[in-house]
Amino acid sequence: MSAESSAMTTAAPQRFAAAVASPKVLQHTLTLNERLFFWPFLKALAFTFSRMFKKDITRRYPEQKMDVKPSLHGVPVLVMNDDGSPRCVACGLCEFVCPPRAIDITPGETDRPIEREPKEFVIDMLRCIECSYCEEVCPEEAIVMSTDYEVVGRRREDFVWNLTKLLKPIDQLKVRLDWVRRTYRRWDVAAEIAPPIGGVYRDPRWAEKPKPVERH
Amino acid sequence: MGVEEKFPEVVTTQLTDLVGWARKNSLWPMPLGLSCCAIEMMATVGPRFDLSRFGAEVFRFSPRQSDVMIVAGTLTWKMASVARRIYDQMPDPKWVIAMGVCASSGGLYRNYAVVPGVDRIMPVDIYTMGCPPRPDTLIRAVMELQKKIDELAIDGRRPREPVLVQ
Repeated sequence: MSAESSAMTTAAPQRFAAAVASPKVLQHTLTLNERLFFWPFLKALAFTFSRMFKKDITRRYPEQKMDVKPSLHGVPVLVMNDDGSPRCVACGLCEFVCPPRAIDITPGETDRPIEREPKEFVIDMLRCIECSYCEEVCPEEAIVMSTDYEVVGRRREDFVWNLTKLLKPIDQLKVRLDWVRRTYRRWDVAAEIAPPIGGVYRDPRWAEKPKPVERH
Repeated sequence: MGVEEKFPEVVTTQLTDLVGWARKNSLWPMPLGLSCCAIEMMATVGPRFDLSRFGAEVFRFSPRQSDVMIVAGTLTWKMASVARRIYDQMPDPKWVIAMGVCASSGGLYRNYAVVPGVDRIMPVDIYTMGCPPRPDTLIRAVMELQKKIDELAIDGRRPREPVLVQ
C-alpha cells in the first residue's frame, strides 16, 4: 500500500516537470506589447464606450412596473363572489398543506347553500412563502395568488391580513383563475378534454396506458 | 418669518431636513447575505434594477463604513451572535432591513435552529415579504426606509417632534 502510494506521489512531479521543461511554456519571453497590456486595455475601453450607444437595460422601477404574467406567485388572496361573500367553505385544506403554517381559519356556519364559510381567515404574510400550494389544493378555487408582489411594512402587525383585507372581487382574478384551471386540470376543464367514463373523470394520458388495478 | 419674504431667492430649511436629505440619499448598505435572498440582493445592485438610482449602491463589507444592514436570508441561532456583533459595530445612526420572510419571521423554518425573526436580536425598521422577494420589493423597502429617515429627528433614532410655528 505504501509502496504504491509513494510511486504515485513520485510519478506526478516527474510528469509535471516534463511539462514545465517544455520550451513553449517556460521559455516564452513576453514581448513589449504583451508587457504593456495596452491592446486588451483598449479593447475593454472600447467595449465600455460602445455601451453608451446601446439601449439602456435598466428598468426604472417605481415608474415602470414589471410585465406581470398570470403565472406569477404573488400575495395569496381570497376570491369574493359578486354578492360580496367569500367563496371559501372553510374546509381547512390550505391550512393543512401550508408549509410554513401561515394560514389560520376560524370556520362558521352560514345560511347560504354552501352552509360553511370562514368566520375569520388570517394569513401571516411574513410567514407566507408564496408557494401556491393553497391554490393548488383548494377544491373551490377560493384562494388564488394575485399579481401583487411588493409588500413592505414597518411593523409585523401590518402583515397579518384578515378576511376583509384578503377578499378580492372575482372580476380582477379571472386571468389567474383560468390559469389555475389550465395548470392543475380542474375537473370542469378536464370534462372538456376527456368526458367522464362511467362517472369517473379520467386524464387522457391514462387512456394510452391503462394501469391495472390490483385489489386484494 | 422674514427671510424668505425679504429675499425671495433664498430658501431656508431646518438642519434636520438637510441632514435627513443627505442621509437618505447616501445609504451605504452592509450586506448580510445569509442565503438565497442574497442572490436577489446582488441582482438589485446590477444594471437591470440599479439600486444606485436611490444612492444605495455602495455595498460595504465592513460594518464601520455602513449605515443600513440588509439581513438577507435565514438567520440561525449559531449566526445570531455574529449578526448582533456586526450590528453593534456599525456607527450610529443605523437601520436594518429584514429582507424576505426568513429574516422577518423565520418563515418556512419553524424549528429550534432558526431565529424567528431578526427583531429578536436587533431592531428592524423595514420588513419585506417574499421568498425570496423580487428586486423590486427590495427597492420598495429602500424607498420606505428613505421615507422613514425623513421622518426622524437629527440623531436618526427618535421620531421628529412637531415644529411650533408662531
